[in-house]
Amino acid sequence: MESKLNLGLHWEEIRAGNVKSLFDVYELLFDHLLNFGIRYSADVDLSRDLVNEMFMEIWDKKERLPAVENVKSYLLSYIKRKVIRHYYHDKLRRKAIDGQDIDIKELSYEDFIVHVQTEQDMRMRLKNALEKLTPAQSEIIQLKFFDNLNYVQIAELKSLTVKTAYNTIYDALKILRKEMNY
Amino acid sequence: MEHSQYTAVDFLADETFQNYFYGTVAEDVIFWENYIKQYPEKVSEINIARQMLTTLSANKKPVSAELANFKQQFYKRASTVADVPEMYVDKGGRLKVLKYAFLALIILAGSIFFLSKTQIFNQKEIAGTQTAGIFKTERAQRKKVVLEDGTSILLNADSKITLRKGFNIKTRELDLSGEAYFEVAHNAAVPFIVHTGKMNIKVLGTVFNVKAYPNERKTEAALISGKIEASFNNQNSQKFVLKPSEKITVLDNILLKTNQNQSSVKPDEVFVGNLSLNSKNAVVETVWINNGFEINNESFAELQQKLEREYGVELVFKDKEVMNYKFTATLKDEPVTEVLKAMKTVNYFNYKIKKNIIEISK
Repeated sequence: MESKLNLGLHWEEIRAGNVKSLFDVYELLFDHLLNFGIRYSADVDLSRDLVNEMFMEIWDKKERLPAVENVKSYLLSYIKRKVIRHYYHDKLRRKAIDGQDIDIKELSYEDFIVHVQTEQDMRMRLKNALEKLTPAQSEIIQLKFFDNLNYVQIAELKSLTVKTAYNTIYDALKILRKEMNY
Repeated sequence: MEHSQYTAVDFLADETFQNYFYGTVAEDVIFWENYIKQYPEKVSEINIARQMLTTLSANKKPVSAELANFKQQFYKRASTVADVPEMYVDKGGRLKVLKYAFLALIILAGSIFFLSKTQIFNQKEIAGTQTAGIFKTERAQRKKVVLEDGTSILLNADSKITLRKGFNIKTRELDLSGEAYFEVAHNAAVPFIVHTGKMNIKVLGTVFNVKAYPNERKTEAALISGKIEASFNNQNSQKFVLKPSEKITVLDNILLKTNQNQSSVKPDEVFVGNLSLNSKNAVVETVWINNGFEINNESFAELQQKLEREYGVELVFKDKEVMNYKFTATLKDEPVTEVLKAMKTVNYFNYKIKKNIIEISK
């Protein structure tokens, strides 16, 4: 259970040295933390490494961890600092090498899911397919398949009926399948 | 719509299918596994759905797989934490103790050498012999052995490994008496099996520790990474598959009841549990590989064999009461005199050292 209270209890257990709670929090929040990293880096492996590194750090300094009221937002800002620090160093390095400057900004869903594909052919097919979706379809596909929300949550968030949320996704999937030549 | 009419798009839009794919809801997993058996012709549509799910999620893996991977990293790191410099002793509450002598090697009675020799085993030399090779350590000695298949073994004090005939041909089987830390070279075609008096451990590319001293009640296998399967040499035909960070213990009840009626002896007991971490975040089961010495709420009587083995000494108790004193401590590279001094601060006792005999009194 990902409730604030439950996470808070786990946090106190981690501070007391209970390794099982470290693993429980990892399991509960991994997806959120990883997604956050992917949004900024479009790099799944890097994001995973940073999340794992963060949990190791938390364990190493458990005696010095602060009491935290909202564990989820605490860890989200923690991972954000790590992503930024990573790109800050990267940025400085690139600047030193070729004078190139890069910005740290949140990428769009279309950008990062295309970017994480390893095969060139797949990248092209996915890019073309996504261009056929309306912005509303594309956003709901992201909420469903990247953020892993269920239909009820999507309906609430976008002020739709559950039926409409379902139909929007269904139609979008039909387009994606056709355009990706499966 | 009927499930039998499903296309890839229907699978994708069905939340129970996602629960199955990510392994989050048990009943959905069971349902879809049965479905796949029932409708084998759906395999190609299901595969398209799987590929699209992966793509749209930005190639993420299920959390369970990520957690397993993280645990493996976590314990692997903890098993090689070399930094255990302080010496401290627990007594109910924690009583941190003492200066720490940072001695790399301690020479006691001229017989200790930790890791001083790496033996490279050459299979050709022993081909055709009854046993393929024997590696032994004496008390107060450790040895690192690298086998020809690339497996490395760190042998603790007073331990012996005997490679069985035909080692590294069809199988890699060996007998262990004592304690050893294994880093097994992966080769699924040639299974690696460790036999001890009580337990057999079958391995696929793995890092683990086995403790099986014939004079101790406990036989223990602790898994750091990979996968091992434990089976037993007695009537018990059960098998246990261990995941990383788990350990299995066999408790011999016969050794416990030496003076009692034989008919009251219970059979061996088997427990599966998690590895323990000490307050330095090192895995207790493997501190010895970094020359650490862990005392975990053990009585002097229980510690006797361990101390004798590690330091090549003999303990003589002048006072039986002292044998019941309990201690907890994490030590590293300490001579036996420093160990005794630290223990003395917890529960006071006196000791006299005569050559390698240590007399302990109140």
